[in-house]
Amino acid sequence: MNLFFKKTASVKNPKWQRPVLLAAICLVLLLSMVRCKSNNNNNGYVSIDKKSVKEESLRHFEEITKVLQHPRCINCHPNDNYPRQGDDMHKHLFNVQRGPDDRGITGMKCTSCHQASNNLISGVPGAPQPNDSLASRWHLAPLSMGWIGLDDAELGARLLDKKQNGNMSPKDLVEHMTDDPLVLWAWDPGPGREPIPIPHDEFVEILEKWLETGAEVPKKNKD
Amino acid sequence: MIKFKINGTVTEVNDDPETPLLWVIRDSVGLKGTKFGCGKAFCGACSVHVEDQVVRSCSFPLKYAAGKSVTTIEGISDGQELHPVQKAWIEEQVPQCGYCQSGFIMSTVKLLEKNPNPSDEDINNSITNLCRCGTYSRVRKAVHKSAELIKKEQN
Amino acid sequence: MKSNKKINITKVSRRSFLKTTGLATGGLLLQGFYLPLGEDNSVAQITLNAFVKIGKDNQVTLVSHQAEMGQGIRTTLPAILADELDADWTKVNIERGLTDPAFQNPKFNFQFTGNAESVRAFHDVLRMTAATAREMLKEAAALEWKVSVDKLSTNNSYIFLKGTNKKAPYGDFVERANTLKPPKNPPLKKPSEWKLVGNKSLPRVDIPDKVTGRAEFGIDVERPGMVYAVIEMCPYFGGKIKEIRENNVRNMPGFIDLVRMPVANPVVAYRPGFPKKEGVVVVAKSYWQARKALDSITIIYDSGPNRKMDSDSLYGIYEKKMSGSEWFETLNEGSSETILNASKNTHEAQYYSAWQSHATMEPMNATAEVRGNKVEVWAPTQGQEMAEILISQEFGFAKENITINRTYLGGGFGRRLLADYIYQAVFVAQKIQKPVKLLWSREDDMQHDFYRPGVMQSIKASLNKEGYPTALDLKLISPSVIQAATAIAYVFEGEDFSIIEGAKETPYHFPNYRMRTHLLRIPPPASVWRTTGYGPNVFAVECFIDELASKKKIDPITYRKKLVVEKRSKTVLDVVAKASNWYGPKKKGHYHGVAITHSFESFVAQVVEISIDSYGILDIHQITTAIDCGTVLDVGISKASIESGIVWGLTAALTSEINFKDGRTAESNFNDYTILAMAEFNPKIETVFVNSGEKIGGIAESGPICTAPALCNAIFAATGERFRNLPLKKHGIYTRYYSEFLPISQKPIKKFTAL
Repeated sequence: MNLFFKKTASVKNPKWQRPVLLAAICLVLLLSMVRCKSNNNNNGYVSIDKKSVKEESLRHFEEITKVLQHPRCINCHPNDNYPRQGDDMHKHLFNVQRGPDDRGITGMKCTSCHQASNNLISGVPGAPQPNDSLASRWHLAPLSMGWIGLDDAELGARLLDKKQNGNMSPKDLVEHMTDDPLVLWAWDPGPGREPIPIPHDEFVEILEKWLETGAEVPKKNKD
Repeated sequence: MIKFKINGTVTEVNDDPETPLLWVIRDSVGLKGTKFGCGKAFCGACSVHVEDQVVRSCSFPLKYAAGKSVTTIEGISDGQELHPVQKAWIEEQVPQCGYCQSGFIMSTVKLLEKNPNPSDEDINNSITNLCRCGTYSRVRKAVHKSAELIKKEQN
Repeated sequence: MKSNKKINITKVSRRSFLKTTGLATGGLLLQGFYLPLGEDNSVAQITLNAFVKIGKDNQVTLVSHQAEMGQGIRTTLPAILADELDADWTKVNIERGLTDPAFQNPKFNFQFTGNAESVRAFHDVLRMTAATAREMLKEAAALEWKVSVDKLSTNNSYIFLKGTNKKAPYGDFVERANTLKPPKNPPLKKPSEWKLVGNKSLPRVDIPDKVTGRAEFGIDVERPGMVYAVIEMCPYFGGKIKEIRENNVRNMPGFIDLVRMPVANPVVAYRPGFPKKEGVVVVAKSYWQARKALDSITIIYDSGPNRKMDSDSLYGIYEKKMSGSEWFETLNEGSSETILNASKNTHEAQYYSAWQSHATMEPMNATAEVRGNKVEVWAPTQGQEMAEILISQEFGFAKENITINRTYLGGGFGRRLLADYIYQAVFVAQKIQKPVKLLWSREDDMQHDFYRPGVMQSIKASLNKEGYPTALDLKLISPSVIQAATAIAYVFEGEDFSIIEGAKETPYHFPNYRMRTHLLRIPPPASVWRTTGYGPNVFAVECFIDELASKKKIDPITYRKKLVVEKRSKTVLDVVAKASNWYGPKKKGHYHGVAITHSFESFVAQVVEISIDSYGILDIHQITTAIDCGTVLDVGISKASIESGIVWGLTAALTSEINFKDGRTAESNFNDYTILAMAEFNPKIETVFVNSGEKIGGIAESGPICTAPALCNAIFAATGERFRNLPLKKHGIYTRYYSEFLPISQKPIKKFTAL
């Protein structure tokens, strides 16, 4: 299963929702114009530029979510206490669980099996700490950063919410996705696992553009 | 040469740094109690402690053990006196073929250090080792019995 | 032991099938059970016979000649000896027996461990030899003390003069005892006089070493100057090695040699239907170096004539043969065909049990050393004599120059009866002239197992007005399972004696019973597996009997009680009914299923209590077993055996399965060959022993046999649906635990509308 090539939005939203979605987008745009007006005090309208910048940002975010929703990323961003495995995203075999610190349960810590590099012999994947190539960084994203089952808007909201994302600014987020060895692992997951299908530098480019264009995320339909 | 502590003794080995710790323990250090079951970190027969953690040594390259302290089944008791978990294992007559039991015992020792009073569910979550003979019901009993024995010894 | 000569021999009754298995040679079959000291009298330790040695220092050594693989035999057999000998159990030595005619199973004239044979085959022989030794010691003491024998008693390795304080250790009398003639009929203790066995529990002698890591398994053997070997065998059934690209292997660290093995599976290679398997072996200074070096080689295979074979095509063959006409008539009593044809009230069902792997936790391995014309092997083996025969046959070593040392077995389950891995180690040791340990990976082990084959049965019955069968017709399709374990080239035709177990003879009497067998010849190699033929056949028969009972809504236990022949069957049914509260009020949503078997000379009835939701998620609450094995010798060990057998039975019933794809085995490790986890096994286990005092029956394989049918019958009781194809995961029935870990695409769907 290749989630990357799947139009997540159209799959997740049944047809009857589309008009609602359109209406919601219009409303969002309208609201943002109002806000722009009050903020910028520029005669009551927003420039075409600004609108298109925002659209561009959203387009970038759509690309970004395709990566975030990829099994290599989302398998360790579950919305419950079970890490996932494989492209079919089944719960991690042998009852592996989150544990109190997102690092597993006594006896079954992530690092009981996952070390600082992919184990080419046993096939167990691994990734190092940023500043210690011999120490394993393998762990789950916190529950507040659980994404499985979220649509793009929900994911976006959660991603930007500092209360949930570990007090990260959009810039911090981009840095995490650019430099964190555990994130980078998704591009080098070892034999037998499909890596993220777009090159990491292209992804970084998209991230940066997203940041430059205001790090916009889509709003929930009913907003 | 890679240096690490095994069961309290500093050891130096000449193996390739990528060699799984399991084979270093078994063939270079010569401690045979840690077993090879699947080579893929599925079964837990090779479980040892590295520092404070249970590690499946078939999937743990030697290089990551450098400077660390490794404990194997041979190291959990001090000579004469068995570890309470081992005593419980004898009391409940757990092992059958016995091949997987070192792994079960190593997992149990660590579980009880962190959680002296585990529920059945805690046991399910922490001890996921496989046993083909089918000793599970006795393992479960022996984990509870171990908890009792440890408490008794502490009092 | 080989220097000892036999002076007392007994005639062994021969079972008819032995004439055809090729195990027996012509002429009289002799079995020595009494082997006194050899010519060399200088040794301090005096061998009284093959099983008991008593030193002048009063050290009693008991020989455990059967392989310890978790069944507790290293405790129970010596305990029988010590019990009859009146030896001090706390001070006995227990030694492993080598290969010797004295250790042959008298029923098969063959030394092996398996078939739940150890106790039932050897109990009487051991008692007799121990009693012989005891009486000879007493006689020696009587001569020494100049008293009559009946004034003497024995206890804890001492002889006592009754009514006095006089006592002396056995060791004082061994020399004199050796000059005496063994008594012909030494008195045996009555069961009421047994101290160590018989409804008691002894702590197992092997357990202390198994909790400290000291127990030596095959994989732990080390020899001076030993090197390590790993093997890659052609994974395609009937495939060939096309090309070996050595790449850089000869420069890999620790590399010693690369050895080609034209036949890596000689136990079956020469039999029809079984293709030979080629292998490539890499020898290195350490296991890991050998593994890495082997990984660096590229082996190109010709996947051979079976490249399109997969599970579906194989299953298709079973179905085709089932509707075909090639049958061997295993049994035809009464006039089953006529009655069935005439009957208007019939019931018919087809069953299938999937292919299974042994998956012993310790992968196959052996250590071998060749010195001149001698070879010595250290191996975790159930088949010492098989290994000896194979080595002598394949390499030309004289049998007296072959020593097979048996270590502890990290699981046996039938797999280690075969000696393919021992052959491989000897092959390499001879080639490189160094002691070598050959060790398979888990993947090798699963790919190159001799599987419990898929077994299909179709059963048809005609019924009388009361709902009981008037005639039965059973058709069985299976590859031979005993073929690979027969040591001398003999080809079974039509049937083998193992695949018909549990179907030809059932606990029931059907006055008109026809059974036909088709012995399938297909590429994947098969062999015996814990439960042998009983597993699949009892599954089919016991599900079928349940179906018949349910047609007239007759209580399954009542129905069976009316059909069983022997009182012992009725008793275990009564006992299991009581212990499982079969007739009492049930908890809401709880359902029972029952099955019964007469197997390995034991009578077993088992009840499984479950609940199941509409999605097929299963909770197993209690498993109750009643077993009459004549006399239970060790309650603790036997209970453990039943408990573990249940896990074995449930694993095969619920989840484990070997599949084939592209002409080879699809499963490779414990991620895809799924065995039951501790988290999904927490039912209440009740085991009740019925001590009828009849002939001792087997235990080790009896636990699992009834589990699958009892479970399926319980699922029927709950849902009204029959599942006749194992494992149950194929029908989307999972334990609660297992269902958690399924991919979303396989998530359980609502299937039981009745619930």
